[in-house]
Amino acid sequence: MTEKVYLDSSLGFYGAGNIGYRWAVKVINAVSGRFVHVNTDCFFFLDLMDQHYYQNDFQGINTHFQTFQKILPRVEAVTVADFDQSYLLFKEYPNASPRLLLVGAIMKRLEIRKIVTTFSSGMEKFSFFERTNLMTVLNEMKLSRRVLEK
Amino acid sequence: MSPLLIDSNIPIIASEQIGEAWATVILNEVAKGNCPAFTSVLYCLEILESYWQQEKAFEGRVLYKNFKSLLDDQILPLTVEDFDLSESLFKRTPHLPPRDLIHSAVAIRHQMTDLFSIDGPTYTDIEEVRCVTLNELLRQLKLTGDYIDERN
Repeated sequence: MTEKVYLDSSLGFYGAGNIGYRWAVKVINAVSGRFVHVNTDCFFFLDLMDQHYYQNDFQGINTHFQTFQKILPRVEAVTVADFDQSYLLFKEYPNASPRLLLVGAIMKRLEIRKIVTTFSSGMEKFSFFERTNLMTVLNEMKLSRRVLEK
Repeated sequence: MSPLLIDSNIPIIASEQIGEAWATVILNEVAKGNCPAFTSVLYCLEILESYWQQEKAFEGRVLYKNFKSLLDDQILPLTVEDFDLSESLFKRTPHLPPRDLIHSAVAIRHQMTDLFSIDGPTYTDIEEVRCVTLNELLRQLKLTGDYIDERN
């Protein structure tokens, strides 16, 4: 499979507990090994740190940061050009969050259509990416559900 | 004078909705080229998020555009190296908000020591950076008077 995919930060903190955490890491590992290009942006870490900080989980910041730092295959810088591109998306989707529009802008820059995310609310209305869920990714990679349980 | 890294709260305070004169005066000095200044894409995101959360997304976009224009596009990107450095800062100061650690990391990586923010006390725990006070900045810009009184 040579298609590029974008990893949303929701994979990083999905579930927030130990089970969710191991599950997300396994999926990222699996995806990273199978796709030629896997990208996220450096705000992945910001989302991760914000989430843990607001839960007063300081140890979680450190643990997750170091784990994902090691396994994420390609982390894109965010530039002002991405903000300018996100403004074009804003005109089309004025109610979408700035962060989501920025993800869309970065995906456009990287010419990525597919996003792997556990975040679902309202994403289907955006034409700039095709949301795919974890099971779909695993099916496409011909990986069984058991990869999550190893 | 040393270049400043300007926090998102300064343009927000200077905006029409809050409109505090001291913040406008400082940003005018930046616009006139008297005060070398930068911001970062994270501060830009904070502007947009702040207004979006108040259901004023369009106003946020306008403020971002004006702020960007005022800084003559001196908006620093955020890279994974900034996050690597912020992680080192986190180990020393785990009580600080992650975003403030990232702002500090951006400043350090671009050889800047001075930040201008209303969140001054946050940065006192990070020895590589400091938050300049309004009084100090006004003195450096040779401005005095009402602005200091208003802020203090």
